[in-house]
Amino acid sequence: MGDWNVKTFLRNNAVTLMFVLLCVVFTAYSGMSPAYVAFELISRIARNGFIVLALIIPIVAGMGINFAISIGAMAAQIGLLWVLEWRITGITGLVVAAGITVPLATLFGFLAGKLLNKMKGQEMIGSMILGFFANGVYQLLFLFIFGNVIPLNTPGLVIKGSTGVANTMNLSGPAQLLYALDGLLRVRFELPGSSPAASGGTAGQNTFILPLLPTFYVLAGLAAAAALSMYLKKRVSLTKFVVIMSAAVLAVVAVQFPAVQSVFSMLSLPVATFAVIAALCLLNVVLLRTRLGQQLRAVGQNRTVANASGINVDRTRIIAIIISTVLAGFGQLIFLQNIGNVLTYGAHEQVGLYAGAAILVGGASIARATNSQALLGCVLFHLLFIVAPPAANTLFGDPGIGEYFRVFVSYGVIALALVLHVWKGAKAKKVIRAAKGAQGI
Amino acid sequence: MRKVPMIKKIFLFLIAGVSLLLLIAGVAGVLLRGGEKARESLSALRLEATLRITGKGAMQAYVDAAKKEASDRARAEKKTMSELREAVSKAEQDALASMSFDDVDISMIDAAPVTRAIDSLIQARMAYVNEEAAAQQAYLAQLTPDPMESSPQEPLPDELGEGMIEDIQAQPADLTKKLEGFQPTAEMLRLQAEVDDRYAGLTQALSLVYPNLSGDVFAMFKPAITSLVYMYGDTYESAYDRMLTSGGGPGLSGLDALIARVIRNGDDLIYLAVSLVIVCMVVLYNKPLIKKLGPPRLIIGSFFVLLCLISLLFDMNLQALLSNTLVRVGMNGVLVLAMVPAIKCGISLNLGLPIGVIAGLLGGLLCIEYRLTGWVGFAFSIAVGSAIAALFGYLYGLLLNRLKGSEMAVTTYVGYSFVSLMCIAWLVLPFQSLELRWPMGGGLRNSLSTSTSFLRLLDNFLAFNVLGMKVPTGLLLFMGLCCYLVWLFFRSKTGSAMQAAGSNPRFAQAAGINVDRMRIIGTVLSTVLGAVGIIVYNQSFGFIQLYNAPRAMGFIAASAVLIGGASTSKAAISNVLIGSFLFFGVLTLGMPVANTLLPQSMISETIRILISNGIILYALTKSGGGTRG
Amino acid sequence: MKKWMSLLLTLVMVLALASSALAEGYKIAILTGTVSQGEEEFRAAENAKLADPDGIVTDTYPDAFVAEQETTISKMQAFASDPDVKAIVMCQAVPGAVAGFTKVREMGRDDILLIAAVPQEVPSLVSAASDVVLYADEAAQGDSIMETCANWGVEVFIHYSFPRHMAMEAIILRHERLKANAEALGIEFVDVTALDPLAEGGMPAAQQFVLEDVPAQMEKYAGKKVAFFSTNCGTQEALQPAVLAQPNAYYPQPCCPSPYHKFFGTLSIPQVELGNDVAALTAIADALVKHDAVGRFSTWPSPVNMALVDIGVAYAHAYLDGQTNGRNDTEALKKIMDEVLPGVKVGNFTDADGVSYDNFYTVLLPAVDFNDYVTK
Repeated sequence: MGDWNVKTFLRNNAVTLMFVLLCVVFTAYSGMSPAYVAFELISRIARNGFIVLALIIPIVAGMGINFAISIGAMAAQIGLLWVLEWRITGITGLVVAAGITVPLATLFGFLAGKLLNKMKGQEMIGSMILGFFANGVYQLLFLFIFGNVIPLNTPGLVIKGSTGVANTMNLSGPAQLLYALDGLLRVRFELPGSSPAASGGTAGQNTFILPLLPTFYVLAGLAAAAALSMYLKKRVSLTKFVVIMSAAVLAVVAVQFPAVQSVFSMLSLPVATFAVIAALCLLNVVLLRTRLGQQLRAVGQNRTVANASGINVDRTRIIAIIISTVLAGFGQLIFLQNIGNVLTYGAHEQVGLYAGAAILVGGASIARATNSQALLGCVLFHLLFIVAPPAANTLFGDPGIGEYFRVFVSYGVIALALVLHVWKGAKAKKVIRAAKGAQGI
Repeated sequence: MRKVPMIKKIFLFLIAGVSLLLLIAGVAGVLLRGGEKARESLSALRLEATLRITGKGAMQAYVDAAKKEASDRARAEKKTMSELREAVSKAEQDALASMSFDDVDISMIDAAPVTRAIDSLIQARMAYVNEEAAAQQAYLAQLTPDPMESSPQEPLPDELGEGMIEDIQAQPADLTKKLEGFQPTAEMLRLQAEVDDRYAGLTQALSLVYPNLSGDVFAMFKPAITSLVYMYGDTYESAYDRMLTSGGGPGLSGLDALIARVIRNGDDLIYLAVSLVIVCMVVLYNKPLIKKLGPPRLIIGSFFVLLCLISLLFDMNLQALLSNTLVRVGMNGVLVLAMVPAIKCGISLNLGLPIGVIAGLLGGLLCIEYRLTGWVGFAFSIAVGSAIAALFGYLYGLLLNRLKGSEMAVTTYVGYSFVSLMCIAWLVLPFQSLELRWPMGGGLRNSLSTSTSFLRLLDNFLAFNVLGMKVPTGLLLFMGLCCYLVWLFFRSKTGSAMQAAGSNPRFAQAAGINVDRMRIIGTVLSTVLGAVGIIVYNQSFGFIQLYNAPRAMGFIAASAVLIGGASTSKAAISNVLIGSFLFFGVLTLGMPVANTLLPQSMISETIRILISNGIILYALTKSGGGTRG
Repeated sequence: MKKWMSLLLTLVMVLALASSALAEGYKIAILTGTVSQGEEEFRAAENAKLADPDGIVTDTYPDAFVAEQETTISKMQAFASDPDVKAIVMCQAVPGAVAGFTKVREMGRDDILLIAAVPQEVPSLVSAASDVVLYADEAAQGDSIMETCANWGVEVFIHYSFPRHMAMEAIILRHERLKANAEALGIEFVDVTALDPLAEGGMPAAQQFVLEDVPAQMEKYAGKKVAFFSTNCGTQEALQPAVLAQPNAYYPQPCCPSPYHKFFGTLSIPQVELGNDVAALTAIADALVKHDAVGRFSTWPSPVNMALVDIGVAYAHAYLDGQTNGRNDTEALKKIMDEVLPGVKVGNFTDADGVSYDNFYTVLLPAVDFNDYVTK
């Protein structure tokens, strides 16, 4: 912090700044209301935050994880199918599904890890083919075993005359799995001068409505107090203290404007989901500080060196795959309970497609793949997703182009992010290994 | 060879022995097909089939006729389909209710008169069928000078779908159309009367067996039975199969049945014997083979041979399947080849291949835009595509030089984003030809037929048939030419410098090689091959596919070359050839074989995915350490 | 640093608020596929937007809609975030439609009229989530396709599909109906499993399989008239030329019945005037003549997906102008359908268990005889 100057700041945060810039431009052109953007962003983070954070451990271990995410998702979907069949509803159902996911994902992860360890140097083609093979097994299960060999009795799971499980499994309705986690506790904000009912939105039994301004005052006050006490105990520098204090003041001032207030008008925070995401953050921190965490890190940085220093590389890699598979399964459950239905034959594909990109955009590298990078990446990436298509429609004046533009931007920024990271030089190799990890090589 | 272990020896002898036995039985079977024994067994089968058709089958035939009548009546009355279904099922029930039939135990009856009647019917039928074939031949021969025969349109170069019409010529089904004006000759009518007469004789013999069958019923059976006993070009195998499928019963028992089977499946026994010999060879020479090919190739290769064997055993058209495999190898070969310069120059697998593919597509589009056709169009597409690809490749190479050591992670995303960028471009590029534009609005179509430009130009060039297998000579020659050129290039000074730069950049730099330049040349070469490859692919497939289609091309080519034994840092032309053949061979044969083994069931695709990919996975785990990768 | 960024972001949102303008009256939103997925519905939306630039908003769902369900949902929510949007028409209602509609309702937008055209999810769910469902009757196609085949005197019917598709209710219903009709008509019905375009060879391998399998089947059933049908859009562009090249092969209908479904590409037909279906049919018929295939191809006379978008928009107008009796007014809808699609047969969807849905409308058009359109 001492030798902080504009140039190094720009260089070190080129990717993130570029993203912020893109987001600014696109938001301005998108014509979307800030309230909607905020609302959409929060729901997307709630949906995807877990999976993005689940990538930290495998990235630190230098592992390919895309296929692991897919097989973890398959395990989660098997869990959901049986919860639906047994008609276990609500949060109990979700917990049971998670309970089924753990052994299945562990088994799948273990087998996949064993297999990949046997094809060193061929991991790329190996994981590609493994993905197809796993899909074949999944199809065999859902099309020819469940519903045929093992009969299913819940109506709606099997279509009359078809070969297996229907292509959509409904989690809402009698199954009550929709928002099983999100709906446990929600918080909405009451804007000054308007009643919460008028602003519409999800209103469940577990929704708490907080008045916006007092909430802000309390939060800003808490932040300021915490910063002050930390500063007095000399745990933070003066610069940081000033930044936090001014941010708190700025927030309190900004929230006085109706325009800023309206940003919160649609928000409905799924507190339980964010609590689970926070728990994962904690797990990441704790796990990486243990002996196993050190081993994972060592293997990720250099397998040969790790091996020489007496670490069982194969075993460590398998553990990393198992962890990422199980976590991906949980992530898929969180995602699906929010969406409300399972596309039986497609939901697991490309689960990690943008998760890996998001974490890279946040600036993660092997040396330092942190929770805050993952979350920042998640925010920026999804914000871009929300505002890029309408912005493109406005810019090009052709509604047909927006969707292509969104895909172009989403892949393009990943490529650009990687390129910029490499150009930064020193961190290059580590980032790239992280990128390979995220990509599944 | 010298140190063959005891167990292996015993195993080899056993297999060789079995193989020899099978070979002898098979050859004997094939030779016996014209013999007395074959005739006897066929005669017995024929008798049973006839008796079953008229006996047990009478009921079925009666019901079928009633259903047909109901269906025809409903259609004539313009009923809706649900009414028709009802009418047919009602007719079926009525027919079943109104008819009762007591089955006769076939083994208990005196069959001699029936056999005699059948034999005499065969004679008449054979004479008739042969006469019919000869008459039709003559009819076609006098038809040939007719200008309508070969191509009903004046073959203008830009005539729509000319290539499609060319394909029609090869099809035997075309005969049905041409024979529409054919009238039976007097001789045919006479022979037909003879057949009718003999059939009446058979009817008499049969009515002794089934006294309660009326003349009407026998009249109903006439077409079924006359075509059962003999068909044009009948061989032992076809007659045997027909009897089994129409009779339903085994017909023969004990040793006779076994002999009949051996005669019928003699060819299959020979195939089995040959494949066992191959197994012996593989076991015996497995060390040198593994050294040459690596275990993955050997395993996948054996799987391919197994697929061929199964297709032979199930009387599938292996020649056509192999011919299809050759076409697929040829059409994808250049794309797979594009991976080689990329790997050799040190940028690893070029997953940004869609960039080259898109350059090629632009070449193809311009060819259609300027209405170029035939070889000119093809050469133009390749020239323009290559030029664009060279430019793209140069820029792409510059980018990759800034990303040393991290190409693969980035190239996928660069490729994807370029494909999406081009999706926008396809919508806004100012192409004028109305054939290129969407039927209803602006932008280019997602698939454009090459039938007006260069459809199957290479596939059909110098194509010839050998052993019933169509060889796409031009396609294979073109692929061979590309491989040869790339091989030549790597023998040149630049080529060897590039290899050095790729395998050990630091050393190469020290030796005065400009590594960056070499990497750019390699990238340009790979991109250009991608462009050429997609044009070859399009001319064979028949469509230029835009929008999201180029996305998958990089991965398919990468899979093939990796299965061929390349690694991310080492590749050779042989990897391309072996990899293309194995990957596309298994893909081509897999589905038809799975469909034959598991007919009328959707599980065949799932099983195919599991087995094909499972074998490849297993093969990859045997690669051992990855040096030979 | 991160805090600066978050502040910056907040600022951006504040700025963007100023740009949101207020329009008068109501808007109708249309969500379709991109042009590369299906031209018809996209053009229909484009047209509607051209005719009424202020009253219509359009957007497209992703090409990879199965993998990116989330994007489809968020596009729907983006419509609903505009208080002026009072109706959403989605065509095709790909997977994600039900979730999207549900989330629109959760946003408190009970006032929005939700119309799903060509749904692909489980019918009971679609029916419950939408106000009106419009659907080109796939089950009844099982009748119309077989009728066409019977008129041609087809002896063998080949049905290409793969396991993933055979888990979709509409495809199964059609398959069962085809099979039952074939049995009643004495046509041999053959199920052939094709390659799944999502397996290792991708779409190229799936297309190549069809291209190779058609001649193989013709050889197997030499001398017989064989009709081919595939449930997958991507493989149609391989199936059409393959059938065209075989004099005894027949093509009763593409998977999505329309004059525009791949025919223009296969036959290299130049662009025609937008909306002139007769011109399109005439162009196809004339091109088929050259291949001696006029009597071997058929399809529906109108692009049904395009018509469904038009119907959806017209019905939304009627509803929002207060001319309908509630959200699901059968009479008003039928009137609009008769205007847009003359000769249409309208019904209510009934699933395999015999349950009928009163807001789930099926439309059926007669098959085309291209002989009626030949000019040369």
